[in-house]
Amino acid sequence: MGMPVAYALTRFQFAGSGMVETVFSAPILVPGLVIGFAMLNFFVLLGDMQVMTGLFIGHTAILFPYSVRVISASLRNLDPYVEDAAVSLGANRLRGFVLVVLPNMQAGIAAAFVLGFITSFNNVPVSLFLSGPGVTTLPVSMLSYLEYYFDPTIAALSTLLVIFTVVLVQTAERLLGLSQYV
Amino acid sequence: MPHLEIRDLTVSYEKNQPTLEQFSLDVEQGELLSLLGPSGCGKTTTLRSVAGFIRPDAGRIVINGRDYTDLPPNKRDIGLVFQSYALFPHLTVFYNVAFGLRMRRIPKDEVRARVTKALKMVGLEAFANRRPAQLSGGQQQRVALARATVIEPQVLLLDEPLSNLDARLRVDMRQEIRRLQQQLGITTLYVTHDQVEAMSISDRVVVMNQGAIEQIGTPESIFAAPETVFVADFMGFDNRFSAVVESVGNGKLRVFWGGAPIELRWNSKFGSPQSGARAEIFFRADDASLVAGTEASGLAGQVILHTFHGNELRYLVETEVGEFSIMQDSAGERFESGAAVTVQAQTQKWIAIFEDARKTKGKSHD
Repeated sequence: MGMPVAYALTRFQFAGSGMVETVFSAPILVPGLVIGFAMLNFFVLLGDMQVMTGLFIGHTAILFPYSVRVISASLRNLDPYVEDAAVSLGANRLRGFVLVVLPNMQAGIAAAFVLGFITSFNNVPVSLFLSGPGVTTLPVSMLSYLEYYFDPTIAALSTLLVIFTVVLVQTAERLLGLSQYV
Repeated sequence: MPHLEIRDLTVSYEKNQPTLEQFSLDVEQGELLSLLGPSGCGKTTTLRSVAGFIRPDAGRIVINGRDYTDLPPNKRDIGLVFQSYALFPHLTVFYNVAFGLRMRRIPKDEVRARVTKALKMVGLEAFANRRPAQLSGGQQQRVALARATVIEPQVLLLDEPLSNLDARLRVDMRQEIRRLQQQLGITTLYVTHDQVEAMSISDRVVVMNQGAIEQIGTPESIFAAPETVFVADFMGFDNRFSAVVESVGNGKLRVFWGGAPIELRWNSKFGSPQSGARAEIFFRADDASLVAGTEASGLAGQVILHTFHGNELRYLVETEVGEFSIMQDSAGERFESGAAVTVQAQTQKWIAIFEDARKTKGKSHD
């Protein structure tokens, strides 16, 4: 989903493009608790929305800036003239994009996916507000578990999570060179 | 009939500020024509209009008798080479070159044969399976050339193709482009801001300024006989001064140089200015010499600075009509800073320009 926004932001300087960029990075800058509470008000109290849907939209919103940034970075590495080159060789705009731009965005898209997955998976503040009966995320249930019990389960689970994240990031780094995008 | 005709092309990015205005140009079959000018003079805009990436506000582009003006860029059959090469980073050299043929749905066997032939022409047949990132800049530009010419385009367009290469490689690639262009007999537009490059590679050169043509001609004629002040500046005439015309006639123009008259070539097609009119005189640093003292005939002056350039020394000399830069053989007599000298004119290659003689071209945009 970050793809079209990233493409538009890197390829065109339009009126307000700076503002759009700021809006899309806002979820990084605004504290998670604020976003979570705002979304709770908006989705659940006003919108009477399903818990699952709310959680989904909330997470999409916090991931959006990451994917936009990462994909923008991969596009900035690509010579903007390759599209013109493809068109001059007989490809129409769409084919030029599919055959030339998209393959060169792949690493960026994959990196955005990994980064997004980790961010979403580890997020507490937004999830805390948007989770509800029957629908919750692992860190949130860990947090509530911790409020009632104090046993090594959480410590063990945390260790597993840390290892899982490290392995995932390392793999991504090896395969895609994640660090050049972040 | 010219192979490529540009007729009254007008392009403006902003309202009432045309980058190109009523621009017309003919390129003959198989000719290499350079568009030469400083950045912002409209040369790249011209190129991109021919390629179809810019829609002109007015005017027509005709190639081989067919009107191309409303044709989208992917239907134009034009080879384009970019300053940044713009190779496809995810494809091997072979598939980069094959791209245009595959878009044209040419059978596989023929694609293979034509790509191999094109790579052979640029000396890269051994690199077919490499990725662009594994090649040097010169090799990448050769791939770009092969990619643009393998489709046998009507017109080849080159947009500052050598700007990203170092000086020595640039000279090699210049010859390579020229050789390839002549072998294929392909009509070519070459955009550059480097006058040496334009001179060495072209059949004809178009000097552009502010969206209009200053002068068109062979490299020799433009180098030796600029017709406007702008072209003279751009062609490396180091020295310029204003002089009052003494008399005109017989293809000669007389002005005073340190008390004595000197005669310059004057082409009467630029009119016959009255005596007393002001002319701009241009000469290169090689076309004057220095003698010690102020007794000799010529213009008296004083050496301000000298710099060493191998076989030559360049002197900066202050005189009553201005400061001049003058090259002398470094084996000859040397003059220290502050020395009194006389500047003697060797006027065979000097030129005189009257800005009133020709209507001043181009409107000021700033």
